Amino acid sequence: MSASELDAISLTVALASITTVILLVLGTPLAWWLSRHRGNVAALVEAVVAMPLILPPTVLGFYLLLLFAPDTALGQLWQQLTGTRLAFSFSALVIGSVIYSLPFVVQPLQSAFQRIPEGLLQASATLGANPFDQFRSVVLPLTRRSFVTAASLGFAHTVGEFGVVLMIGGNIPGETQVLSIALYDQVESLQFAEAHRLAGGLVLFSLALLFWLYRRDRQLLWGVRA
Amino acid sequence: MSGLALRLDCPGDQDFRLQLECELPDRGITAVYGPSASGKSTLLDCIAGLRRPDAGSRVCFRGEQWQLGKQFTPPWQRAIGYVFQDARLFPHLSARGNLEYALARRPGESAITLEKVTRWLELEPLFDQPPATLSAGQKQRVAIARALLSAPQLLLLDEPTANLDHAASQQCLGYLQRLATELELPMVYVSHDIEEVSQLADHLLLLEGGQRVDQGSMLALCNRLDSRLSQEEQAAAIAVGTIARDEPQYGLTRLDIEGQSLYVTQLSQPVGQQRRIRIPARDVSVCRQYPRQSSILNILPVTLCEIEPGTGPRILLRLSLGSQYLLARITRKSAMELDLQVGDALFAQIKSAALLMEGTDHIE
Amino acid sequence: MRFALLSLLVLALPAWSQETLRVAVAANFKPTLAAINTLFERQTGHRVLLSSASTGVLYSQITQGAPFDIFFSADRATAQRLANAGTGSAAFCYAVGRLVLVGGELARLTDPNSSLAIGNPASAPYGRAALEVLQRTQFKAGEARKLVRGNNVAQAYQFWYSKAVELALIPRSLAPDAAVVIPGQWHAALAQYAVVLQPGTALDAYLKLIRSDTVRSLINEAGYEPCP
Repeated sequence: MSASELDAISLTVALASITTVILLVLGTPLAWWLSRHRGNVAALVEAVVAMPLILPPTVLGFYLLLLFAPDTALGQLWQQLTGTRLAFSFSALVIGSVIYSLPFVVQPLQSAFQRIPEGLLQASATLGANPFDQFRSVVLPLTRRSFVTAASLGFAHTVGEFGVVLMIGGNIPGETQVLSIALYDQVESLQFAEAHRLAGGLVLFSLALLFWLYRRDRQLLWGVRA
Repeated sequence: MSGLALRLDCPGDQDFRLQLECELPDRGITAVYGPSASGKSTLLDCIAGLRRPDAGSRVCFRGEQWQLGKQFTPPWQRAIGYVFQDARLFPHLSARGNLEYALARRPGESAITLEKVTRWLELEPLFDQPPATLSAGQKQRVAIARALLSAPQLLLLDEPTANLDHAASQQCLGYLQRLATELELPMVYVSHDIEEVSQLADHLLLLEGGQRVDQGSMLALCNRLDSRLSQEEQAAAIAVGTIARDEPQYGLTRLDIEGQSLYVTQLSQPVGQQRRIRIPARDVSVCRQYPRQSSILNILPVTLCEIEPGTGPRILLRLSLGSQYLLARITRKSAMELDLQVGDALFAQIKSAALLMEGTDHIE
Repeated sequence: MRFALLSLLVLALPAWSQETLRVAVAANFKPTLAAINTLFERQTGHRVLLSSASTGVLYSQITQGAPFDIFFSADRATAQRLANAGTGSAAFCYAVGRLVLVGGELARLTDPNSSLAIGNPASAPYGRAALEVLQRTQFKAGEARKLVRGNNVAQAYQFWYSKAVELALIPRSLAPDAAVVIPGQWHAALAQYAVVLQPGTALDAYLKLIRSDTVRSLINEAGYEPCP
């Protein structure tokens, strides 16, 4: 395997890992809020979270491209805070991936949280647990499996990201040239042998991961789509 | 010392509104009795803080405002324990784990230790079992222990025996009676079962359609003709007697009530102990003359103090026995034929087999 | 009566014999070819379907059986390869391209803090040419710049257009008014060759138009140079 292929792999793993961690941190309170609220606002938030499921990645890519440009508010803020450009950076990919993989982390968590009976939380409240305590001591232990599922799905989905990266990545080796882009490059330049290696590897990885996930939890698909 | 002062205006789950203003005593067991959808569970939820009644409501316990105007103390800051109908044990913790959960969160020291509740409720063999493997009765015992371990000043119970079979139910009531006496912990006990209420309650709050219908001491309410209770089929008077003597050869125990003897099925309890006896009105009949050579053992001299006015086939009589009262349900025809008048001296006949009060022992 | 019928027939003839041409074109030539196609459609009544991508991508598609009638490559080598393989008939030159720099003066190429977009050198000849330019010693100082590769030259231009990057090295045809034209000697000649994949009558008419003077001047105006 060439250096650039190893670069692409380590870049992809880094992107997927960081994205997954961010999504778990952001997605958990969001999923909790969604699981405990009804009404128009909740429905709207749920719809926004689910949008990356049905929107073509190019839509997201287009808006992100415009959003990250150095002359926008975000671009300039970033420049001031970090001294570097946001457009075509690894950080830009992270932001894009977080939005793109959001429903894959939030929805399994939300399903799991919804299955926690309100009565259990009431019981823990009467025993002296405030809402944070209730979450930590009752909800978390009962939904551990779903966290693993959500993290795995978020990770795997980010590994498979292509359309968004194609539009906002800029194909910079070592910085934004992730696996899917490297593969695309190889096909374009007719390096079919290398392409087989990467593509085949990705197929095996996805198959293994999904097999493992489905074995653990037959309800998986409904958890994601519900 | 003020007890639990309530002024509540709260919508219930079904189409009713709980509107209540009352004060409940801060000792003993207060039973909340009424048909379904009368607001009983809503009441408990409001006291616990699990439900927030509308503006203008007020919840105050022993001088501490739990809710007044905009101020609202959340449930985890109220010194309450709550035993739910469905136990609600945490499935990811063993029985012991559930108990330790309560222990870890109680606000301060308390005389109620893990060792004590384990002994009182006989939980030792259940300790390491996950809740899923426990029977309904066992779960409820753990739930009661868990609620106690949070060192509450007020214990709320929402039909805790609803999911239990008769034996487990009686056992549970037994535990509760002992705990009430031993711990001096006021309890608010919701039930739709009048027999249960009769066994436990010192004080009674009657609800219907979200409104208070009656309130008072258990004994007083039971023995009145104008109370809602007496309208029911199982209307019964409650009397208090002292255990006088066992007659094991007959399987009977003799109780002393107002100087009269009352025979009940044998209670294995020490002489001198006071017991409540529930005497259903339909098991009481009256006669003008002392019936000689009757198979009925319990014949007590009473005075007729009240006759229920009515046009139905059966009417209630209120009979006084010393300072206590009995109820009798007889046919109106008999009343006419006996020409019963207030003030008449009569004899009340009670079937001894009808007297039920399951055993409770002292807690060490 | 007979005359009327005949004239009807004659008028209907183009409609009956209307064909659809499928044309593949490298990204840089697309705007120009789109204009030419409109001309062709108006003149002959035939329809032209245009597919644009980078040279490399189109080559892949064609070798995998994509049903194009003619392919306008951005270089000579790709067209030649197709001709040699027998997939197409003889390749012919149709334009010579030039690179331009947009977003700043040539001196900006020595600025290591700049950001610059080019087409992907792996699949776009203009990208390769841009890389050649950047590797010149005179621009070595700017080596540390943020170099962004567009999927094709059109995307490189789009990156600059949306202000995501400051500079771009792109075909002049995409920015005909650009001030800074890169000297042709700085990179391998961008002679663009086309190759016929499926001969036919409509295609013959198409080729005739491509070689006509009208189209030649159109191509020139678009920023290309005539073939050697």
